Amino acid sequence: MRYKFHHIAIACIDINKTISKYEALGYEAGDIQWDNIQKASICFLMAEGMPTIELISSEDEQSPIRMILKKNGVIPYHTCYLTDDLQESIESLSKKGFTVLTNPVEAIALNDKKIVFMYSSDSGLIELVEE
Amino acid sequence: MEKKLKSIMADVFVCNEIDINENTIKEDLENWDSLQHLIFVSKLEQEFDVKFKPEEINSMKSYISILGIIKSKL
Repeated sequence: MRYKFHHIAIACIDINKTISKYEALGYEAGDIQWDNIQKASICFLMAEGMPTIELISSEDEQSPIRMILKKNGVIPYHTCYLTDDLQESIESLSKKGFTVLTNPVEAIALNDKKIVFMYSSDSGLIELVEE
Repeated sequence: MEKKLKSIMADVFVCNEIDINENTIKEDLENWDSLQHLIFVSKLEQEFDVKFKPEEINSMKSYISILGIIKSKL
């Protein structure tokens, strides 16, 4: 399997405040969207020559995002990779020690592309997106 | 197997094995939050050489439910 890096997600408390900080670094922010599956607000920021950033903020006290924020403050939350075959990637990475955390779902912030979250204690949380 | 499970839970959730019994639920263990849950599930898969479905991971909310899920796979 071959993967392409897509974005770094950063858990944040006040998404608008964090957007302004990344704008100061030269990023341009897209629209803030509500993802009903992750129960979170999401905003993608891009800048030429820099990795895409996804800001993610949740009001749900039980969400992993809130737990990360409580423990660490604003911090990178997951890395995301593109794959051309989501199911094959899930099977391949599962055999290599990743735990499949979600069934494939469509992500509104990624034009309804199918995504899945996987975790390994050696890599942290990753997201896969089917191209 | 039960001792091994209690040992893993005590290690991940930073508590004493003696405090874990068949009545233990998620809310009983202060450190059992959604982040630690990821670490816990990952460790269970490694230690018991099993794979869980997302639905199973979400239903692991008590010692007894986890024990049942693992037993069903061995």
